[in-house]
Amino acid sequence: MRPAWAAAFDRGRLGDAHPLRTEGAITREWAFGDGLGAGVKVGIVDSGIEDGHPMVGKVAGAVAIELDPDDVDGDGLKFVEGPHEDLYGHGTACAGIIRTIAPEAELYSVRVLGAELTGRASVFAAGLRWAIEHDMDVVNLSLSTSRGEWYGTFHELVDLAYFRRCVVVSAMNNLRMPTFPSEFASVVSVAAHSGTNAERFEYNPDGPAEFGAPGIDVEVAWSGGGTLEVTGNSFAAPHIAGMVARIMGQHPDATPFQVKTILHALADNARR
Amino acid sequence: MTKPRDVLKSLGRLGSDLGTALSPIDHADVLEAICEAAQVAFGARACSIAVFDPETAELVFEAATGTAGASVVGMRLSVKRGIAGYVVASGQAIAVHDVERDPRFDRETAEATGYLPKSILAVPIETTDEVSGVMEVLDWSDERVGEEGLELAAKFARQAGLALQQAELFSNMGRMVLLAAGQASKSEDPDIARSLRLAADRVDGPTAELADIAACFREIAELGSVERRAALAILEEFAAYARRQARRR
Repeated sequence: MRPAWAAAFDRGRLGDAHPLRTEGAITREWAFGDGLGAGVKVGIVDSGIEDGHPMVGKVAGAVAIELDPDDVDGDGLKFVEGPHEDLYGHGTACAGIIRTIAPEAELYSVRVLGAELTGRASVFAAGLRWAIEHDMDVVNLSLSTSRGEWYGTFHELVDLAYFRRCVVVSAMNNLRMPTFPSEFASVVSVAAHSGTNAERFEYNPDGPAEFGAPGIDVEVAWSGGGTLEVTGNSFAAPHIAGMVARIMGQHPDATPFQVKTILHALADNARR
Repeated sequence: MTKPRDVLKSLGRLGSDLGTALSPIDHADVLEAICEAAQVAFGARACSIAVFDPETAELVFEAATGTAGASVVGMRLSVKRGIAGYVVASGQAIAVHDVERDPRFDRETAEATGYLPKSILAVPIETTDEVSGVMEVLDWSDERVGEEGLELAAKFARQAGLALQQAELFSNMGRMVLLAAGQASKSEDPDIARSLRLAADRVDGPTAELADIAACFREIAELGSVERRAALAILEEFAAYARRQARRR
């Protein structure tokens, strides 16, 4: 008799592990390769993305998730796949930042922020689940919920992402309060530092804001084809999501913990 | 003879009236006091609080101080518009230093208030039912608040959230008393439970004559523990009577 899960380690069933192979310290060249992020699918769970915005370019795929009052037997949600507009500009801003850092990454818009305000956490959770189940390599979450009752759902989702090798990059809230899933250790959590150099980021060993990237008075893409100077942790996260896309482009087998190790090694405050 | 259903309906009404009468302060006054305090703390020109109305997907201004002042109260704007709408929709606090350069800024609405600000600091107001409003501070003084502005505004917004939550509790007191009673007696007597739930569904807002009764309760509450105990004993008698009536039906 064997305990549960032992079968996963049977010969022939066990998959290969892919250790990081590096001669000496991890460098940007080794980590990023050409730095284009080609072939990497990035899901942006937000207010939508303006397809064709000069700073965004082409959107590879899109789904809009909304509450569906007619769906009484199911989850109460409807999923509308196909092009949509950005209702607020926020998602376009995030997409523009990721495009700047990883120009060839495939951007997917998962729209969860709409005019409907009730039941928003359930739509947000469904968006994250959609991204994980549609095999996104990276998910950018520049939003989070402060609702304690959603703690369990988001914990389950980020664990699911972790084991499906989907790296979830989550912005810390702009206010100091617990929000999910940005507080969880399995995500890459990000807050704004005061610099504007898009290539610079820091590692904060004390958490829960694990990485710092530009997000104060930064110029971003906005809906309507224009740009806007904005401040918020929301705009720091996509900088790191872009870095993760570069890493995944060069190391497609990397696990979330390996990606974090690489980010940690590349941070501007890393002792070398 | 009075039917149990009528008794319950009256009880529900009484509960709602009691709630309104027992509510220590009108929540609009609390919100206005919060706006006043925030305006001073920020060295700002104006401050306002708007509450989300899910029926119409609009934000309704419930309190305002400063340059715009009372004329703003009662104004409605679509949640799809403006910086306030953005904050409510995204749940994120923002500080905009130059609103003219921000496409989210709704100039038309601002003009309708009679005051065009240069900068807006807006934070979501949260209650148990997610984001339920927004507090805006207009043309604040950077020297006064510095980098901690968002955190400070959030503290005021938290107070506004608590005031809204309390108002909600008091206005729904009758309904909630009946729902709670229905829940409690569910397993033992399904008839009572059903009656209570039905009655709860029919509880309307306060009525004038019942408000007088409620005021009477309020007076008793303020008298002392002996009087409160006596009133409680009478109420319990009444509840027992209502239960007997329901069983006989």
